[in-house]
Amino acid sequence: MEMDISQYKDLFITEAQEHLDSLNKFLLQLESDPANLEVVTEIFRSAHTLKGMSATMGYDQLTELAHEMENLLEHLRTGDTPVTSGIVDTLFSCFDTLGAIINAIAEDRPGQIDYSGLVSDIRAIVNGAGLGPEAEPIVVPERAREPVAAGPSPEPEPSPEPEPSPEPAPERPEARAEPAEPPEPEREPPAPPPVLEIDEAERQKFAAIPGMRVMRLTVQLDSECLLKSVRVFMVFKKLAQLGEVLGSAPPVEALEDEKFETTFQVGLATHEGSERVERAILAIAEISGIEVETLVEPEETQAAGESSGRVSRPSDQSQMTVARKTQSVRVNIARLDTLMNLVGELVINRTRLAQIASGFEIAELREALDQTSRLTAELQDEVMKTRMVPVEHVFNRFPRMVRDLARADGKEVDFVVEGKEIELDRTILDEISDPLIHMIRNAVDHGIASPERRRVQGKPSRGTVRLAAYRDRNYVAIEVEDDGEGIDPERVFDRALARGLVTEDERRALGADDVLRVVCMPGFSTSEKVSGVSGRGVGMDAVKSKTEALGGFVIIDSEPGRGTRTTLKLPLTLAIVQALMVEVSSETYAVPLGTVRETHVINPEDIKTVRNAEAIFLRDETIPLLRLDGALQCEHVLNGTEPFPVVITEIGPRLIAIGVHSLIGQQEIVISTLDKFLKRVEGFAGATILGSGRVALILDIPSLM
Amino acid sequence: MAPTVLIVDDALFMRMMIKDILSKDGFDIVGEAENGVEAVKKYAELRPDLVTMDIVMPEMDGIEAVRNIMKLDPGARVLMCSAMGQQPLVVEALEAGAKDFIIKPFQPAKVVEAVRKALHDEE
Repeated sequence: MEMDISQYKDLFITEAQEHLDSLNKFLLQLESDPANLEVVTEIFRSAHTLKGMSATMGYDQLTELAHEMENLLEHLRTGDTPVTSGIVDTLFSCFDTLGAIINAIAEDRPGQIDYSGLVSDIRAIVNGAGLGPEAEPIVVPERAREPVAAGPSPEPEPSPEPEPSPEPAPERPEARAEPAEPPEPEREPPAPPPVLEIDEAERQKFAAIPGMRVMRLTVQLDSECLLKSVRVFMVFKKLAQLGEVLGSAPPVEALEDEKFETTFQVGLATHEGSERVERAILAIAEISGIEVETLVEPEETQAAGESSGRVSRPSDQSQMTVARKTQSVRVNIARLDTLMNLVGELVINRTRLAQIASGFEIAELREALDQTSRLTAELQDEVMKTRMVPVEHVFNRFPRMVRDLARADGKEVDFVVEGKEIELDRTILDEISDPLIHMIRNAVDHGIASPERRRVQGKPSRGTVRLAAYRDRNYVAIEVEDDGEGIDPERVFDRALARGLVTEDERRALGADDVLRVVCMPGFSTSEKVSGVSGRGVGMDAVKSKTEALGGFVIIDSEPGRGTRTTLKLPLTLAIVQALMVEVSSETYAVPLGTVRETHVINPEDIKTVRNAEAIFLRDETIPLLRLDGALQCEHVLNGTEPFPVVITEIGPRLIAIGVHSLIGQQEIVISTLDKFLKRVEGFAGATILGSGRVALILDIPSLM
Repeated sequence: MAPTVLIVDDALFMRMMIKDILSKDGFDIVGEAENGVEAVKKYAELRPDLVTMDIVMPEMDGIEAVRNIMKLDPGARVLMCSAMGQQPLVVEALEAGAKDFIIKPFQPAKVVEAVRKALHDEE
């Protein structure tokens, strides 16, 4: 039976990476609490499982490294070796290497990853503890141990053979056959399977017991048998249940040490018949054969006849109908994408139907459509839920990263994670992993200062970086906050000028509100040095563009000397969002509802001019006004004296009032991203197909601000 | 009726594999568990003809689970799944009442053989 192993590869990779994540997590715990042996046990388990999985897949490198780690962990687990920072570092290196090997497998990259240095490190630690690899002895049950019979026992017994005894005599032919066998064991190198001798005295002893047989069993192990000694143990255990074991050839000690090929002999005194003994032994896995020679037959064969009183386990026991429990299934994300797209199409069609139906006053049609709407909404909700995963999946790797960054920089950082259980669309989560890495690097590298400097500033020498996720209306917010240096706007602007990102004139016009925009300019980096761990040339611009591509936005709050908080606001799901539909110049546009704070109708005479720009006043707030017709450079419709509606949108602390011709209403829209050649068009986040079949553009609010 | 099997392993990957091997051979996989506690619970509930049991697992290890299952049903048939280098644990499990064991990496033929043998054993 051959098996195609490759079909398990994806599953293997996913699960191996999960194990790696938990290994890292637990090791961090251990580092802060080295005496916690429970954590060691967790690490051991994960490493062990990883080893078993890797061996099954035939990934020898992983198996070997995991095995070495396991050896080391075993010593830690028993408490023989205390956990030192050197050991923790070695283990971290192991995890990194395991990760590299797993990645190589995932990407089908051939070639070896050298981990021989790690292996010798591990061995040095293990040996240094005075605990070299030792063979683990196998324990054979006591009963089997006693009569170690190898060769005839020299003890003279008082009952000599020729004298007819009053006791029931043993079967003659069998007994006579015995001495015919060569008594001296042959000493040639290719030794034949050893022969077990059971001396006459022993035979006599059992022959005296009614119904007792004495047998010599030749047990054949599977040639590929692993753990032969355990198989031997099982045979002895089984035989001990059937009768009394009369020794073995080779002797028990040799069997324990696996000093035999594939066969061995055991003597057995039993009331059972040979068939039953055969069956019992053959029921053990990897026992490929057994030969039973009955040396002593019982007096009354009948009495001891197959004690067939035993009824085999009734198989109809399983006929009880068993309630199947709910089980989970892993599904390729591509399938879920397709499913989501189909649901999207369905939503469009439903809207279309509703629109058609609105032209007819048919109560039944409307009822049916209402039902369809409800079902579609439910379906959509369910599909969305299947795509949601806790942010934990991505968050879990960060503690390790923060530790490494802090260590490399000689900083002391406490890393706090909140809201791990918050769920986000799988695709979004995967996409924001890199931006998050960048944000956390920023916090540790540029935010938190050295312990000395912090002390001078009157702060605790340990800095804190907080990573938190929480729900915020239709968004999930993920923020990275540090209590470090904060962003100094003037320094930021000077650097932008130095980098040639802004002109001198522009520089003078910059105010505190522009920090985010400037920091997110491509090519901007405030750090003088690029740290070994962080610098990969991804800047805040990448964070911003990635987040916006996902339909989210970035907010930076910073106070010089007190710290910085960078927040990503992300939509719950990619494909379908609630939107406020508006009309301007006979075109329909969608404003994502998550950004809408309120709508108003304003009179043209209420529009003020602030710093050369139009603005409206609303409850003591000055809100910049953007006439959509002008902004989109289409036919001006909002220039009369008629009042017109505005949509007040909100991105973090920033507000903007978007003037439109009319408000159409709230609707569910399916987002289609713009093609590559339209990507550069500012102001739009995508497009959607309306119920009428027409296309409406979705406004990208952050870029309009 | 096909013999029923409960698969216990903390790695989904291993469970899938054993499941595939056994279902191809006509066994009916009635349940899965990822730790010892769950295994004992599911055993009580499903009463499968056979259990494949990983040894090293979180919550409750496979050996402890065998002990508990044997208390629940002295006729239970548990097949241990072990990695190389765990002789003492395998022996402990066998003493706790496990019927037999298989060694990872699994060879399908051997898994099926061991399961068959364990099911036909009368003890």
